[in-house]
Amino acid sequence: MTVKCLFIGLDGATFDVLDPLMARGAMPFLASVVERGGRAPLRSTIPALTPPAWTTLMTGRAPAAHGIFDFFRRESKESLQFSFLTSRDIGVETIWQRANRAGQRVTVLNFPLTFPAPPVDGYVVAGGWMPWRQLRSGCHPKTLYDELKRLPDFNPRTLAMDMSHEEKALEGCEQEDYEPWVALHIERERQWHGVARHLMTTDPTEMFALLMDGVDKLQHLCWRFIDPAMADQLTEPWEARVRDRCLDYFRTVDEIIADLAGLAGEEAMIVIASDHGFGPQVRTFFVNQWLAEAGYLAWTDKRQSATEATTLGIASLAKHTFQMDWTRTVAYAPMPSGNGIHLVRQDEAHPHGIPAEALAAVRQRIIEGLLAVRDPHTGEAVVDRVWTRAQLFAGPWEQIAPDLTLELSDGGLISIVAADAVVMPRPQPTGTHAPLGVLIAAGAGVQEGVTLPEKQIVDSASLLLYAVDAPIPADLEGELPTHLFSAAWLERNPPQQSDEVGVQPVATVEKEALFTEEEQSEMLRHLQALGYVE
Amino acid sequence: MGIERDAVRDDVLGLLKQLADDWEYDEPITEATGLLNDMAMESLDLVVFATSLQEHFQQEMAFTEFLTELGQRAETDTTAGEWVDFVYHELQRAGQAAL
Repeated sequence: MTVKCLFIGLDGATFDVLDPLMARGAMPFLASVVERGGRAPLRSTIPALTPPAWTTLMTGRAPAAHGIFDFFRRESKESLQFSFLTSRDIGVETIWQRANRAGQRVTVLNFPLTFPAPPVDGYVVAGGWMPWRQLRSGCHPKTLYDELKRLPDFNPRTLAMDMSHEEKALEGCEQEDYEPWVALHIERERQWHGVARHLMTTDPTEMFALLMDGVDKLQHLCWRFIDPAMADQLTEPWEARVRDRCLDYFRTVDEIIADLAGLAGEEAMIVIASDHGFGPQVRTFFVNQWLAEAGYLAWTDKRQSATEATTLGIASLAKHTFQMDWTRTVAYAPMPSGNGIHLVRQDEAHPHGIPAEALAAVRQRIIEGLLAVRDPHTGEAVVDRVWTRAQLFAGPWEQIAPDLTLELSDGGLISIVAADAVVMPRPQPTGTHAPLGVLIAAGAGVQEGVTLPEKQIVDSASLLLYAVDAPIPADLEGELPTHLFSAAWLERNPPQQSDEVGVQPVATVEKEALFTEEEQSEMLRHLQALGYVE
Repeated sequence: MGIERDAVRDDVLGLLKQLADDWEYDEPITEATGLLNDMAMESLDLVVFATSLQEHFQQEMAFTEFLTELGQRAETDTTAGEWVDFVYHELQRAGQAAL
């Protein structure tokens, strides 16, 4: 068997960083791929966030169809609780399943929302929030983990998820922690490389996909060391060392791609894509504090307050249920990741919620209020745009989606904790998600040196299916970027269209609505007792 | 044919032992073993383990209810035996043994 498509996911990669790295010779293989292939900016989902964006890439469907808006999802339309999302919560088929149905085997390494590992024909090692102690459970087939354990340098503790590290990426760390943090991610990518190399040499599959997510982690924490535009500001010796380590990271990524491409062979198409781009976040918008001051939210005495502008509230996930007074709260942001605001509708469980007849007016007042927020230090608008859920998420999942999704003017993430001010400048810019990621492809009919206009992330699924000679189903929302390919190639290899739609049973909103409000509150108390939430 | 609690126990403890072997936890795993204090699992591990159990037994289980019961107590740990009891109860309720 030969690899038809080597797909490398680079979480959060942006041409703003990759182009200068290629130009200075730090990523020579990637530069050669771009030179002999095509490239395009790749527009992410709204919100530009890992779970919805990768799921869109893996399904060819928008978040409104697959139902993944964030890391967590509201359990039911009446609930204030949010549950951890797994592969079972994806509401449509993935391209891995569709490729299988076309007789193409797949290897899927380190992608989010792949736990429990889907029983594909091929291999899966789950990524995302996969704790290292249970990585065995994230492997498919079941014998795979024991196979990997026999690899001489295999170390699951380095390979998989550590929550304390995740928090560090967004909330910052001490000066002396930067270099070990970067080194950890270099080693982590090497671990994934070891897994990928083993599988590609022992049983290569037609589709071979590896996600390297250290790009995102480094750019969050180390943006000012990576962004070429900020290089002049690195004056201290330790800052130069951190920048050098970041360059080492990208060199390592380049070497890994080069090695896997060599193993895949010249006949394989190489596709490299990111789920979103990156840019600097210069301020923090404490959205729940703004809602409180505008009269839509009331804190309890258990609220957590920000001590500095860098606190987004990662450790406050799910705390809204007891940090807010639900007799006086009608709008709240439960998580700092998806920039979403939920409205509390009046019903039996929430007698103090917004009456149905007032909902549209309250929503509009909040939108107008948000758009009027200004950075007191610069006078700039803090919020660029506010999307309603009907605009973004109309479909089967609409009732549990955020009512409002914010696009901040610096592209940043909101903070959900209480604060002394609604807007604070960050002492140093950090990295945050931006809408434009990257799409790079080469080999197998891709024209040399072609630069395409902006593509949508949903288009990637069609490209990946085409790359393994699988039909492109009618229910995919994207388009195959045919301009990547020569006319002669397309004539010899016309894209196969298919009328099929996803066939497997899929998750539904109804399945989630199993528990009463009281039960959900009790569950939260349990999670508090176990230390999952404070 | 009814569901045997012993069989459920063997499966749940077996799964825990298999996981613990992967991180070189040397102590015997019994029903008295604490998942948090003894095995040093983290809270995210519990959520993932609950999903793994549903996958293993091919059965949706009301883990929210299980956690609700635990949450009413003062202890900040949960034993393997409690998870065995819960899974056994859920399989009984579903009327099937996927062992």
